[in-house]
Amino acid sequence: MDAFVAGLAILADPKMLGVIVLGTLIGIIVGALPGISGSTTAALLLPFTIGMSPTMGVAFLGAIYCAANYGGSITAVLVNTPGDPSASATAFDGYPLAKQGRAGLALGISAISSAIGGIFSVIVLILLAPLLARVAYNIGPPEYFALAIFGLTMLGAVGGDAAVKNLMMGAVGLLLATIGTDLTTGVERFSFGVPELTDGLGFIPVLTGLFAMSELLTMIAERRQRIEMLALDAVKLPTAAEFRKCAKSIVLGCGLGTLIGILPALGATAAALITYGETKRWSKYPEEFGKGSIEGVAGPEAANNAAVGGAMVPTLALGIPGSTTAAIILAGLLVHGIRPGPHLFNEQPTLLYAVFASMLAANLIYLVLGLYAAKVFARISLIPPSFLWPSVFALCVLGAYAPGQSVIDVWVMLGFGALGFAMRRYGFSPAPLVMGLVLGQLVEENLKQSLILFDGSWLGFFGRPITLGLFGLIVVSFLVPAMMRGKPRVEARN
Amino acid sequence: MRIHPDQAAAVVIVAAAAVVFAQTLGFDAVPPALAQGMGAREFPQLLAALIAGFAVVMALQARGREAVTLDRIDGMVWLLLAAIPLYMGLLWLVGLPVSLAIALLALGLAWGERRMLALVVHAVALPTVIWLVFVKGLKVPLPTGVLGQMVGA
Repeated sequence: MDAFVAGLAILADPKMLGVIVLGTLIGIIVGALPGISGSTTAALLLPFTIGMSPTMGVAFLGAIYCAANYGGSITAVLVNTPGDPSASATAFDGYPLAKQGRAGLALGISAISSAIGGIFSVIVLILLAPLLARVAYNIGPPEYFALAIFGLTMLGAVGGDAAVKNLMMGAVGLLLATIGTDLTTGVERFSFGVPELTDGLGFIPVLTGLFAMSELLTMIAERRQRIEMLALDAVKLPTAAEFRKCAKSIVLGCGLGTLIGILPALGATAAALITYGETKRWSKYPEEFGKGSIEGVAGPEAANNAAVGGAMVPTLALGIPGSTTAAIILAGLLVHGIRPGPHLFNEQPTLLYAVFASMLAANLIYLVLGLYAAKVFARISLIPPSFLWPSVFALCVLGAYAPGQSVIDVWVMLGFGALGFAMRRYGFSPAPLVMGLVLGQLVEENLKQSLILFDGSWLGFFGRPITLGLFGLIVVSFLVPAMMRGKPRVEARN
Repeated sequence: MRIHPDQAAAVVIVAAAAVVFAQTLGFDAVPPALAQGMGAREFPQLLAALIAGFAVVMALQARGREAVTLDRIDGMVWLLLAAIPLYMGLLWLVGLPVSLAIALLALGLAWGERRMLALVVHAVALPTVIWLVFVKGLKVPLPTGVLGQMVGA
């Protein structure tokens, strides 16, 4: 409780509050810019947190993460192009509402639902993360290894047809994490005599390249597309009757969003899309969906913001990222020399509660900004791409160079930009690679320690109930979707 | 017979995994005192084998599927990729702020922007702000390039 009060006290620090407001503003603006997602922004701005204290840096990134999901709804409603992928479900009914001249109402509902979802999930995070950390506190290297593998394989399990690609990219991420000096033996691996590589690949150049630079290469191919925005009246608060109509979908969004966010691999986009389907299924007015239903806006918006707090639960309590953006925030903590996990709750509880407090504040700040300044943000989203994307390039180069002051890092960033472009073209997602890279050291260390414990026998993993349970879950999570996909084929054959 | 893009990708990935595996064979030997449990080369070897295995599965999965034709890569993307070494040469020669100004101008033109005054203002203003924030504010030195060093910047 003392730590929580101390965490809340950081909001009294004007500098900290300023950083959270700035993070929220940037989050909304870039969330509204089509093409630049929350994860791209977090990757792009990660280098700028190096000069901040770890608490301030994570609060800044956390605020961006919270606000970007809301920002995405502005262009989803007005342009029918979600600024952030997590707002794709919002466009289904938000844009038809805007076409009916009710864009202000759609954005008002979006702001309120987003804030409710976000605040609910942060409360869950505050309650659940310490409990989970306490449970995880006494688990050993084999369990940690199994947990990290569980997190990585979930990306495959939910990948559908891309399952093998996701698993492969997770393994590539783990392999990239082996570059540099092996900590247990001191042997240099894949550094090719380049001194800058002996400490391993920097997270920042890799993330900036994979997310921002590759997006730039993708966007230049679409440079001839023109965006047309529908008119926006003043943002309107829903009436009591409208709010009552949406209440069920907001509750559904809060619950499903938080739960989906907690699961490794599934992030805000999946939460919003699943909630949209469930909201329609449970609605009294399913016929309105797709034609401008306010429930169709409220549910997904509550869900995509609830997923943010949910994703931070395993990230902070176990050190296993719950989403791509959470993986980037985890990388930010690692860059500051902090490894999240159960020990952090004992060693630096104030830092964690400061993160919780900053996320709560960010949700309240974007609610106010969303209700009063959506029109301004909508206008900013129309920055000509011919100025926006060259600026992104400048930030990529600067972000890659500044933390290590190394030109090699700029090469790494540009190389991963080209790799990211090729990956997207062939249907490989960068998210599993990032997860693998961030978890690489943890996986290798715990595997090595486990094998020492088991005298080199891999069978030792099957003698421990938690590892056995986690491996069982991995098998089930692959078998069930495969069986579900196979069932219609069998029925069709019969 | 046209090859599926996944099969083409699998061939490249298997080849890359083989190169990685071969590289691990050249790692320094671990001193006997530290040779307990898994060594430095086994984990990367395991991963290289795993990646190659996944690539083979991916190729097999694509076997029955119709080979989709990927869109042609836009010429401007090729131009940008080709310009990467050029930019790095520029960075070495004139340093970060000036190379960024040139890149901003070139990228703006590549994006189809023809308002030259606005482009020039953007190309000058952004690197100036970056220079002021990093060099003057945060005291992070930015590379000035060979030419910059010659004129004592």
